[in-house]
Amino acid sequence: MSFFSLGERVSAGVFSHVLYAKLLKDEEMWQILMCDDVPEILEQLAKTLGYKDAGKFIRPEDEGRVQLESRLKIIPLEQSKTFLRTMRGKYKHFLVAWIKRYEASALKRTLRYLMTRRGNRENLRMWLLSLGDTSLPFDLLLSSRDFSDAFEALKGTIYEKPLKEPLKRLASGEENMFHVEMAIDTTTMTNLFDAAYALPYLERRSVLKIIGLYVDLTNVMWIYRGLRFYDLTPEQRLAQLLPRRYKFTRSALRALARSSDVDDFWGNLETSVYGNLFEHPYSKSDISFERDCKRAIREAARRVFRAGRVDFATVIAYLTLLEYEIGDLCTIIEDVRYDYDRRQAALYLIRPLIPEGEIK
Amino acid sequence: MTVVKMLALTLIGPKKEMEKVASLMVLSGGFQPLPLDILLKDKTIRSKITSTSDNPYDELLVKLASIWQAAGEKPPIPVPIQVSPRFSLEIASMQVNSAVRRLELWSSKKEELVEKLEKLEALLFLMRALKERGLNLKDLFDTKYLVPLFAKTSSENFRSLLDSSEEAPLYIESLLSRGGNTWFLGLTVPGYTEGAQKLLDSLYCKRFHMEDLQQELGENSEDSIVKRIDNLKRAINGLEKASSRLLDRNREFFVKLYSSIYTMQRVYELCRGRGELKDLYILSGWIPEDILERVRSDLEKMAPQTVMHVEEIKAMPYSGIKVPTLLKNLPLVSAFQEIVALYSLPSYGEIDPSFFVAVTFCLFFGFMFGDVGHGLMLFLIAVFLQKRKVVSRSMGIVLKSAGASSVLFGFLYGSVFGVEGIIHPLWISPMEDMGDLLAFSIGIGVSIMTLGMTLNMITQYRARDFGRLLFDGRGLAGTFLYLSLAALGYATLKGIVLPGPKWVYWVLPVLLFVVILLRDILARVVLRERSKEKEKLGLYVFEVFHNLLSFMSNTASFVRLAAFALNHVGLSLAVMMLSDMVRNLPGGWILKGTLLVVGNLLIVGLEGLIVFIQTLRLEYYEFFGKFYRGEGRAFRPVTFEGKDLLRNTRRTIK
Repeated sequence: MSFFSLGERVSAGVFSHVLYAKLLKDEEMWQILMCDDVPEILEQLAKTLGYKDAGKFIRPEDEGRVQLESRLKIIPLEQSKTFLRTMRGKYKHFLVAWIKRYEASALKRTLRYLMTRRGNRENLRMWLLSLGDTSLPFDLLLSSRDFSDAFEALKGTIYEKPLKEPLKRLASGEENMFHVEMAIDTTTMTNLFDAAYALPYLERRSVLKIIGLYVDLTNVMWIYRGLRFYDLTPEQRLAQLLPRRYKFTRSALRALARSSDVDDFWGNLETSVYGNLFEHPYSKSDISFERDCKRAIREAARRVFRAGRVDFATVIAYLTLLEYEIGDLCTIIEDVRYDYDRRQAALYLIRPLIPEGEIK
Repeated sequence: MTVVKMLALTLIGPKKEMEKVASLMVLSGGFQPLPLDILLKDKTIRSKITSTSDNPYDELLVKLASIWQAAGEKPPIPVPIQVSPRFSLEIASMQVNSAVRRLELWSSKKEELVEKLEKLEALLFLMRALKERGLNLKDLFDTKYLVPLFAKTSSENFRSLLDSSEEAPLYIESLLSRGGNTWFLGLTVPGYTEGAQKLLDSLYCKRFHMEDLQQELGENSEDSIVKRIDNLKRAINGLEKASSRLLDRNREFFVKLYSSIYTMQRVYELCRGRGELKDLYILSGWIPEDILERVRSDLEKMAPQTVMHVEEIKAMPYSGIKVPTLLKNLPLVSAFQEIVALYSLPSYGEIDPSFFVAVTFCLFFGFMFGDVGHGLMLFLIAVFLQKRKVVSRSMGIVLKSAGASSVLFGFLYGSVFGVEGIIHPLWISPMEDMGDLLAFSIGIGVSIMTLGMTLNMITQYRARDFGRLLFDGRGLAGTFLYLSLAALGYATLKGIVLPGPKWVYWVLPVLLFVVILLRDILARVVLRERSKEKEKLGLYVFEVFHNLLSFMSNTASFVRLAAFALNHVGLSLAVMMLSDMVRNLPGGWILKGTLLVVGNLLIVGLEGLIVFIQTLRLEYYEFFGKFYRGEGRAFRPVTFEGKDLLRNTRRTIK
């Protein structure tokens, strides 16, 4: 299978190189950051190769910001689906797992809507429709009166088992989505990691450089949050981790989970295998810590892409870069909305940017 | 060739009629709602009107879906269907509630039994596991210095529990793994009971308390527990089968009801912008004038107490809101609407250029690509592509029209597959009458430019901007200036002596130029008009010169009509010559045939594409540039996804 689908993978790799050329240059990103409002962002995006169609059909009388963000967020999914059509076997399986993350995020958004009942349900429905084929019954989910109905709707899907208990808790009065979101993330990321692990050796090695790092850093983030925000005991921090790890050893994760406070955590992280990813852990704020994690994954994807191979790993590297670029664009839209100091805002983007967009 | 008149419609009536009205408006396929908060600028009125977000059909939809879920099936994928006008929320509620009443009873009973079964099974597993280890339940119940924790979780979570329990005073022993779940016994110290409970909770472990198990066990032996488990399983199975039987007996009815409720849910959802004021509802939006009477008569029958308020608004007084545009044209012309929409839809009230585009597009294309053979090939390719749905219906019609026009011009030029002489030209031969061809192309250019400026004058007249109509570079003064310069140029080239003194022909254009330069001053002084748009003087002077230059450049641009007609002949000749050259080689006839086929396909594909692009350029730049602004917003009525539904429903309403 691997040999016979070589042509498809190479063409997908070449195509991802073509698409990579359409990603924003640093100067373009800087210009977008300097915009004063959403229509100006739309105007700037229309001048770029990759996003010239993103603003089409966005009517100024509608909520332009929300529409633009939704439109942008759908781009990686659309492109992933384009690649999916050309893949077979284990590669297809991996891309399906990759695409399921978008479905998971739609599920989280739907469940959040059920919890808060805030926002326009019709807009949410339209957005869900734009996701295309899905294995989840979103129509029924949106009509659910409570979380018991939602669970009934999810029966027969991959989320039935992991969400059974968390949704039961929500139905019986739990007031936050923490457990539900953790369960959804755990399901999708475990599936993704397993699908990456099933790839043939050479491609597995390259893909795991991105996905493995993603899994490891997610575990680090979860330990940090458990320590910093939720006051979890070490055993609880360990219990909530993803059941997969890449470069971290069990003892390293255990040491991190055992951290007595945040300073101790930074110290343990510095001596870990990923210590070099975080320059000055002691001065870290929560937001810059999250940014550094994402920057590390972006850098890993860039390295895989720049290795010069034209194969499946190139596709995944490109899709990762695209996702983070869109993440940055959405951050910029928010920066513009709240009129933050742009130079300061640039520091919190995943892409390292300095004034005028010159590469650091 | 019109932009359909759009009316602002506001419906006010008792809330009990809301549902019928919403349904009618959606099914009419011609209603674009406007959110009330946009429409009502007056904050006092707006504060009294509430917008509702509840949808009464949500609950019914979920309740009905539970029938499939209870039978262990997935609910069907709902589709909008034609709903009877008699179908209402009350009827739907009654039907759903009577269907699910029994089911809800069975469901709660089943839940109770499943809970009991789970507990008994756990008890049995624990008894057997302890027995294997030479212990019994009593030993566990009597534990003094340790706290026993008996629970069940998924095997994945159990692995995490094992891992994390190493960090705590907690001993875990797996008792049984089955169906992806693991039953385990934990032992902890009394001081850590709360911590252990938290840990178990975070891994979604279902704990069975010792006191409950002790109570459940009572005086029962293992055999009697097994018997009770079997009985419970039979009862649960019976309840499941009853749900399946209920579904099987009424499946068709339930599926139809499910789709009807889904349809009505969509009706409610799509007309969300409505407002409510005490017992009244308010619904506003756009409706095309041509369906108003039909909607009015349907409304009178279905919702007699609802009042309609209709008014024509040419421009909304609110920023960002435009009256939507709906174009209505003859079937052939409507295909060319897409060519217009590719540029931009006309704004409401603007001239719809679709008809002119239909005519000029065929003219330009045929002029540049006039060939009976190639035109026929293009026509057949268009038929094939449309049939295979590679191109849309309208694009198919555009391509077919282009092909037909090529055939017509082919007869006029006497050209078949680039060969002139097979048929006698009805008009001119491009290669032999090159001068005439050029002159005609320039003549077409002058006519198109004049037409463009005339349409611009009509637009200015509609806008009541007489200053621009009379004195602008694209108004009357500009048209006269352009035509007089064109006449002067023609006479000079042809050596025609014009009547009267010569200086008049030079002074007139200069005078017209001065009039154009002084447009705003003349409008103020002569017409007593106030300038609507303040334009900077420098910018305006630059614009006037630009207009003057564009007279020349735009007219010259039409030379491409003749150039491409010649190019077509030249390219066809090249293919012919190449095929003649290979004829004497071994297998020459085959080579010649191949070259002819490939060459002609290339001409139709490649040259056809280039001519198509050139035609668009002439339309968009030379023609539209003179009068057309576009920037219209398409009329987007609320509809369902399934268009067949609308067609069926319209028939029913009629």
